[in-house]
Amino acid sequence: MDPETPRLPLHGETASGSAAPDDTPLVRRAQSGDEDAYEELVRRHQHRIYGLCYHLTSNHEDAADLAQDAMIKAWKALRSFKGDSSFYTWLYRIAYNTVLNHLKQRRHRTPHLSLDDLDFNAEHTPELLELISTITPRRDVGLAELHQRLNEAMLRLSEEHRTVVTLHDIQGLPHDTIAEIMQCNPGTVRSRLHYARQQLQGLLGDFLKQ
Amino acid sequence: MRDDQDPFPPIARLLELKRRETPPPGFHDRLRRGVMRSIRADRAEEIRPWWSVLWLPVTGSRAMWAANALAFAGIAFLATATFQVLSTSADSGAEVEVYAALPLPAEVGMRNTLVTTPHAPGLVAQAPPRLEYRPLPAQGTLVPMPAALHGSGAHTGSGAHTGSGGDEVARQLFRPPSRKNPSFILVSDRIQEP
Repeated sequence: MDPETPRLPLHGETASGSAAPDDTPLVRRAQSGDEDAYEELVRRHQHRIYGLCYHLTSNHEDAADLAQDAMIKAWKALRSFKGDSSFYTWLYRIAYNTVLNHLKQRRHRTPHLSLDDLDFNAEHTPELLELISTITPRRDVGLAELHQRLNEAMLRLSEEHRTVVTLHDIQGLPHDTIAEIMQCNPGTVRSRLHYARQQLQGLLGDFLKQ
Repeated sequence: MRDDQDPFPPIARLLELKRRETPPPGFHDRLRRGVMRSIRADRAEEIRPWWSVLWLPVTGSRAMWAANALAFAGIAFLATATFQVLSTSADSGAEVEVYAALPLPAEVGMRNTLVTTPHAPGLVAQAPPRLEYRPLPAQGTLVPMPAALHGSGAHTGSGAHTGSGGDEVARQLFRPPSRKNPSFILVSDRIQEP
């Protein structure tokens, strides 16, 4: 993968792509009121928390607000964190519930996409052009259009299916962790993932190489 | 981590594109600063003493400033009013004492001495021999007969009820309760049939 092309970090990576360090000491300090320690935790996880919010809403402004809300809620609830799960799983769960509540409130409104702010500078990198060529037979389609169609298709999935696709296929979390975040069993995660991909295949069939 | 038996490889590759969707440069720094600013503001709010809200006009909005100014004005007005009431009460008490200490005439004419006093703003009847001032009593109690009502029909002061007719009205209005003390009348709001 081209190191110059920006992307959101995968599970187990920091924003810089290195292996994620242990959060436990920082969590302990933050629980005793150390704001600097919590700021470091925010720095470590904000990319993925924002990514979750963004891929579930397909809206940059909403995602920014939701990510901020989730991290403030996490600070307020930090004393109740017992360490039964990892900190990022716990933080993900808070963010997931925050987004779900937001989506329930906005269920009857037409979702709008805001991709203009996103970085499409990498559109013409050879690696991406090759990737696009492996995905779609249509040479006229641009990256922005492909993203637009993909996000529209994502928004047509149910919230549970969209979450599974986001956490697994985009953010690279394992089934067990997703099950912990969504508070269901790993088998449910697998079946939801299969069904979601099937739906996306149907929605984007005209774009994809068979 | 990833599904090895992915039956939808194009979809998985397509979804990889979404990892390229990144926010504008500097966004994450702003996000983190926003989170920490909000957290620090909440904590400052928690540890702020109650009286510090009085200093909000310095940094607060115009509406908050106006509300605080109004509250200050109200408090100042109440304090001033309370002080004035307290000082007036003290002065009037002294006046009453001075007034009570004044020598009274040897014989107080009781028939026309309906007066007012500071501690009884209504009409009171002076009642010798103890020279006390008493509030004008309610219905059914005795008060001195006004001098104007003694005699024949002079109480009305008009020609309509002069002579024996005036006397009759006076008798009906102010029937003496007893002949032992005809200077006192029974206060009544009802004309009794003769």
